[in-house]
Amino acid sequence: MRKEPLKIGDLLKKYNLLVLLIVFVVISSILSPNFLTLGNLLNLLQQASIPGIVAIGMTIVIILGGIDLSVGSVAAFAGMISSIMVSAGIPIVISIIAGVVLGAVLGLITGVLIARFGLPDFIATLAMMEIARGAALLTTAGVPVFGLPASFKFIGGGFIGRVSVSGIIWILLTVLFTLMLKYTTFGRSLFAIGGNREAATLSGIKTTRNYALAYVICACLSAFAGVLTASWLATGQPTAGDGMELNAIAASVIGGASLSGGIGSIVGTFGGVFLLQIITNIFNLVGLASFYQQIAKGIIIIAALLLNRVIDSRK
Amino acid sequence: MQEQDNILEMRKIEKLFPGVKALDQVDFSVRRGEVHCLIGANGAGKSTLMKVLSGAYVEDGGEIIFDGEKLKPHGTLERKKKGIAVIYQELSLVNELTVGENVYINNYPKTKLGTVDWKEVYRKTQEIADEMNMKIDVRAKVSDLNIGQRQMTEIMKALAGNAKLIVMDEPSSTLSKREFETLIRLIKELKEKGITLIYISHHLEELFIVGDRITILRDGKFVACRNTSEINEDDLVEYMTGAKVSSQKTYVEAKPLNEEKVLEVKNLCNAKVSNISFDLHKGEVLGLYGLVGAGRTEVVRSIFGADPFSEGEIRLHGKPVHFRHTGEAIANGIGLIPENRKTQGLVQILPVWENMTMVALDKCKKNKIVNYKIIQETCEKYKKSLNIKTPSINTIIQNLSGGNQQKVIIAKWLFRDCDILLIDEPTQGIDVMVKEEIYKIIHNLSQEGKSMIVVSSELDELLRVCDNIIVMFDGKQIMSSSKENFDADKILQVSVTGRNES
Repeated sequence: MRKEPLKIGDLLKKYNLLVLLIVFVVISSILSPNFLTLGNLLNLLQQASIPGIVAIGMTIVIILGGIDLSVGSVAAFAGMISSIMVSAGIPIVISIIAGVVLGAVLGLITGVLIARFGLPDFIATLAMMEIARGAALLTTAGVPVFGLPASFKFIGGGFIGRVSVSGIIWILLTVLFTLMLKYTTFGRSLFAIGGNREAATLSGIKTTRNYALAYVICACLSAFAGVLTASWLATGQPTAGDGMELNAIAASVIGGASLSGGIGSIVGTFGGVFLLQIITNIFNLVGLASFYQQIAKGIIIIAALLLNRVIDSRK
Repeated sequence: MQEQDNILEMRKIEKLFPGVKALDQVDFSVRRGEVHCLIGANGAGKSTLMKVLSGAYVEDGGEIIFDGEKLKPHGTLERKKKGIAVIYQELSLVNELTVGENVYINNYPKTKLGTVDWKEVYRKTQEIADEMNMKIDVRAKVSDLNIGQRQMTEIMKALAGNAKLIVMDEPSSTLSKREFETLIRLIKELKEKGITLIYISHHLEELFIVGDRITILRDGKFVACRNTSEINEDDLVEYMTGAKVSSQKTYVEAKPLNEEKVLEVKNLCNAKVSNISFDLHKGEVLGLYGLVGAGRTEVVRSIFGADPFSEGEIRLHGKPVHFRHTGEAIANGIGLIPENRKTQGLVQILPVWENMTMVALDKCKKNKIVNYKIIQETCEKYKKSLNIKTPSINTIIQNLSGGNQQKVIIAKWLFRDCDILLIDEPTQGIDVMVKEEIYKIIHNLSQEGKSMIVVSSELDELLRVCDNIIVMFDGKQIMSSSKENFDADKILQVSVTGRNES
């Protein structure tokens, strides 16, 4: 007898993000006739792609029960290194790879500090946030790297047909990491570690290694997002990525991830990023000051979580 | 009824847990100003009775009269106000606060402005310390104190709350000899102040030092209440063990052990245990018995690589091994079902299937990719064969009953197909029906040639399933007994006294 309402609750919970998205799309299209046009939607995809890629890494770390505050700074540092290399005439592919490798190294440092030496996630990544930001500014004494070649602009700012390259990359990465989480031992182990680290250890899962590895992945994705930002702006900007971490955390949580670990999905995060981007977009279309956006974003985060709570307590 | 001046009378207390009667019509009365000891083997109901007294549990029957007043079930805070203080084994102090802060944490003295009057906090704490002749720095942080001083802080906290009755649960278990002497002195001081004490301990000799009277519980029932001057240790052991186990001999028949030794442990030492040696044969079920804290869990955790060991040797199929990580032990065919299901055995927020496949996910792969069809089939198979009651394998495991959760954990290791399974408390908090099923699983596994080490606080359980039993006391191995020589009374006696004469 109790089965039916339970099921509806479950469905609502599973798709509440979708419901929110639809609500916002409807509101947006009423507010502005320009919203539901292919051009605007593709524009949305492009704008959401860079924060979206960062949010993938953040979600992985959150599933593990951690948090990474350093994503924005790591992005800026990697973006600077790639930009400097490109402007020095080093081949673009090598420059991009160098940026991502730098991210991997930074992620490994934070990951080892947390997983092996037991520093709290919050503190270790806060420290890395400061270090990477300082290093990014140090590379050029705070001056942006201007005038990057047009060929470097393709990956972050280019288009295939009308679709942005970065948007395609974001979608591909979303699919890739969704599959990784679902179909690999490493992916499943993240949920086990995030749910109960001791039980995971006693089940023979290499908790320390996998914990550190998740931070490496997150930092690589952040670094890559930083390179895309530089490519998109055609400028190496040492102050890029400011506030990126909060946006990524918000998107993960709206997408159903639990900050206590063990729960989260990359597809959910994709929706979360999109939702946050819609809010920015519609405020721009309607022409309201960005201050309102921030207030609205805060309210959305609370609303999404509150909805989950309400559904949970019904059960 | 009230012929004596009893400060506390607990009459016909009953407490039911799913499948067990933890307390069965227990009478327990304490005279004003005495030190009353409460003893019993594991699971006799001491802790449950004290939790009923402190208000942490609500009794299912009976009544409690304290200081001439019938107590209503109103929670721990209410009982504290009435003057009942419980000092638990794992003390409940805030480590980062000072002694004074901890003592007055529930009722800080206030200044006229309503802020905390720190001078008064430390003055009053010092006053209590002086009265009790305690040597303790009232401004020291609790984290800087030794166990004895922490206990003093707990006692001061009870006194600051105007306690009339203080319950001490296993106060001596973590104390050094000198700290214990101080404790005895403090107990005398408390007595002189007219405070009544209930003292719970596993260590029988202590009871004769501190106690005026002793109440013995067994299997949730009241057995006897005696003046310490009238009885000796042997009487106590007899009361504690009774004739309960020896009457029922429905165990599996003794069978000759397979010659093949799968595991040899020689002089194993770690932080908690010393010189543990035994052999485990193919198909053997070996029991580790002892009081809680005797070091049983530490032995199996060291074998499994979950904790390090400092000395000794472990040989697996004749080859010396020293696992640094649980994964190595698992790769070598050893599994561990841990003591605490909730915090160590399960990932509570994940579904049944994920918990069940956690140690052997590599077996659910096709072309190196996790295959959900194999997972589905595997889990359905174990759900059926172990009779696991769950709406579906996708159900979040915390929604299952304890017994079914335990079955999922067993399935997880069956799926891994270990040669040696270490099982710590196989049936804790599980109802009788499921218990039987688990015994059957253990029996079947041994028939298949799997070897097991079973740790348990329930002797009945070990007598039933084990071929051999090792009794531990205080980190040491003090007795081994094989099936044909099982003597329940003797085992219980040795585990309680720590002495093995003969």
